[in-house]
Amino acid sequence: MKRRAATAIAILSFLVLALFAPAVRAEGSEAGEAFQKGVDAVAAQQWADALGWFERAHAIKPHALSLYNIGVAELRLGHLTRARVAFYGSLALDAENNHAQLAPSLADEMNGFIRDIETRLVYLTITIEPAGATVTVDGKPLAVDPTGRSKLYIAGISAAADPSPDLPTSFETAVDPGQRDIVIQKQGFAPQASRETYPVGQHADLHLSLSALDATLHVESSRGNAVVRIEGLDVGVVPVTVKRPPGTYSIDVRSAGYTTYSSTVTLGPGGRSDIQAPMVKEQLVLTRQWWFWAGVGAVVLGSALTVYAVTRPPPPYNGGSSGWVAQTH
Amino acid sequence: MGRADALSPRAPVTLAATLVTLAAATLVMASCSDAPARPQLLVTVRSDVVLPSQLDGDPLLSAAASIDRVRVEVFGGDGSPTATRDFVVSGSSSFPVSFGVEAPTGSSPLIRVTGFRAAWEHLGQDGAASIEPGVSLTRLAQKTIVGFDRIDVVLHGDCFGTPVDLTSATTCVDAARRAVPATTLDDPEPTVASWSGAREVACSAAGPSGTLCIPGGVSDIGDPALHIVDLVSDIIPNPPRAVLISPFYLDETEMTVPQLRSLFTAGKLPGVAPPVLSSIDVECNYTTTKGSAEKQAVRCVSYETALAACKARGGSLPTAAQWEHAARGRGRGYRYPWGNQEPTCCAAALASGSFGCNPKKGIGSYAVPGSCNGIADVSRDGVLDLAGGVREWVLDAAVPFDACIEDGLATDPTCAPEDRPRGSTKGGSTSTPLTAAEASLRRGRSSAMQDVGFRCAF
Repeated sequence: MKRRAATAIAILSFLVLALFAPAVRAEGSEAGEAFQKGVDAVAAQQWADALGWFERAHAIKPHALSLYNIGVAELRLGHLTRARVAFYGSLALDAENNHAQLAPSLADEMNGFIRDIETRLVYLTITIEPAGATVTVDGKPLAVDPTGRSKLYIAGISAAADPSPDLPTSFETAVDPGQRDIVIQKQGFAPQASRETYPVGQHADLHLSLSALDATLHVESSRGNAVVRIEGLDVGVVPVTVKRPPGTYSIDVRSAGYTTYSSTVTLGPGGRSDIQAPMVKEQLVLTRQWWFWAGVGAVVLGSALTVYAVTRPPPPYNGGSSGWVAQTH
Repeated sequence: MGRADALSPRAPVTLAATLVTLAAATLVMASCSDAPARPQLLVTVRSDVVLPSQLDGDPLLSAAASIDRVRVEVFGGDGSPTATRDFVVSGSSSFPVSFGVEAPTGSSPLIRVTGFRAAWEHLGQDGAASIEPGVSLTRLAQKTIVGFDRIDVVLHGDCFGTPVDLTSATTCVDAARRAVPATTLDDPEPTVASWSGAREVACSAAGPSGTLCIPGGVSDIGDPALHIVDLVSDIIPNPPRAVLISPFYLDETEMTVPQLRSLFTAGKLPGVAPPVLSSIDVECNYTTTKGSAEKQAVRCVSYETALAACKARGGSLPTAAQWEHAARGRGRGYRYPWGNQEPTCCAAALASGSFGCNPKKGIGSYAVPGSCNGIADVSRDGVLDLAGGVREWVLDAAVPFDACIEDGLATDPTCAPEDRPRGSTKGGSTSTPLTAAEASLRRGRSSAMQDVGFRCAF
């Protein structure tokens, strides 16, 4: 039934285009020439070409009839949202010109097309998480309804490079029926995509949520074999690059004979932090002199041996190459 | 007085030092003479997989067969962990690694040893570090302590991805013993990198014309981000797991329009439906006579037609695992066929129209790295257009591997349950965004859409 209605619209559109073409041709040679090429393209069923010519004609000399024809071409190409905008624009331009650019019957037909389109559009109630994310449909951002006739966000009428409007966390949008690629993205989060085929006139709910991207932490050091620890866990020898969820992490960079470098870094979603750890040789202090420790060692050894001999502690556990002994209690 | 004068000023110090030394020596001898051994285990962790330091010197070794961390967890009598420690193992100076386990005589502590690569460790939302089970090597060991005792725990490459069972204390030991008691003893002292899967396997014979050899070996496929994916998308969950792939041949390019036409013309595809042009899918390009898309990958091909075409050539479609093995550098874990550098418009035939690029459709149009910051849509083995061009059919059904492949190291896996239609697609296309070039992504069974084509494996 709907296919029959669409066919009827296409046939009617073709007849109307042929009927009104001379009126536009008379208004300017360049615009008229473009308009005529558009009409020729319609005759050849080259709707994409026709759309281009009518857009050009309208750009040279704005006319309600050109906008009407743009709407018809968009409709034939299956671009319902774009057709709707064009039809509303045609009616508004005609009204600005005291209804001198469109025959009343044509305006009535156009209102009929708009009602038909608004019945066939797909209405999605989209809930996004987190706030501030942008949503694109088939690669293009949503747009506030330019006709001012609804609070809908309209898909398909913006260019891919257009800025995205600030979206509330829940909103209603109108999209063309058929297969739609809906993508939600936000800096620092992994984009999520939804590919669904929506039948004509469907009302549906769509929940789109993003998960935060892991952040990248890269640690280098002025000393090549320094070991990097994050939150007390060894992660490797510099240079080392690790992925971590957003958060705050303590970082130690250690190398024998050098002062341990410690720092705290806060990683944002999808962010990157590069740390250059300067390794400074430990100062020669008293406690680092061999003779000091030799003396201390002699005293400690003597004391320890004495105590040891008296208390006779059991021998230490063998920790192997790592020196680590696991407790089982 | 004269006797006192005869002594050196240091004599008392020397005498005292001598006495102290003799006393200390006596104490040491006394204390060391009968020191009783304390009951404990001395555990040495060995392995036959690869260490990071070996990878640079031997390009035939697979990075996916390597470990750079060893995590040791010791469980007490009540089954709860009592001690955990991670060891960085980079080369022979840090491996094998040994440690002690203190326990009373007669007790049987349970020890879990996990070998993994740090790249596969990630922090969960609770802040706890977890390891991807599908790409790690885990072994349980248990022995009743009688005085001082030693055991070897060997991490065999055959056990990649095979889980252990703490409740029943069963573990994988090697290929022939995948679920045996943790008390099973290992063969002593394996040599690192001696595992048969550690080294790539070359193709044994020449392949068909237009194909390239993809050497076999172990490969990690999947991505941690694909544990859970958006339920409304058609991306298939693909958590990381190690797989063993046999050498095979893969078409250097996606199948072109004239290549498919020649199969139909030669009568090699009886009863098979050719791709059709469509007013909706305007990118469809198959023609029965010479047309304008002779140098393009054929589009709008159904799974059935693609499979029949490959079989007519004596091959088949690649499996998802074969495709990912070829596209991710055969064990090197590349995110994209060229490495890990993020794709741009000049890297591959991707993201047309509203996605912002203007891709060239001819096969091999992105084969020269010099014009795009050193990257090109060329794999490690020279295979072209794996990232872009058309999405490519693979044999596996559009279900996660977990649906029909058991845990553990699977050889040449393919997942095709009988109750699901076969076929899913790998790779990005001119109709997908740049991010779809990621080689770990696999998408659902599509109809013969305008960006779906194929290449064959042999």
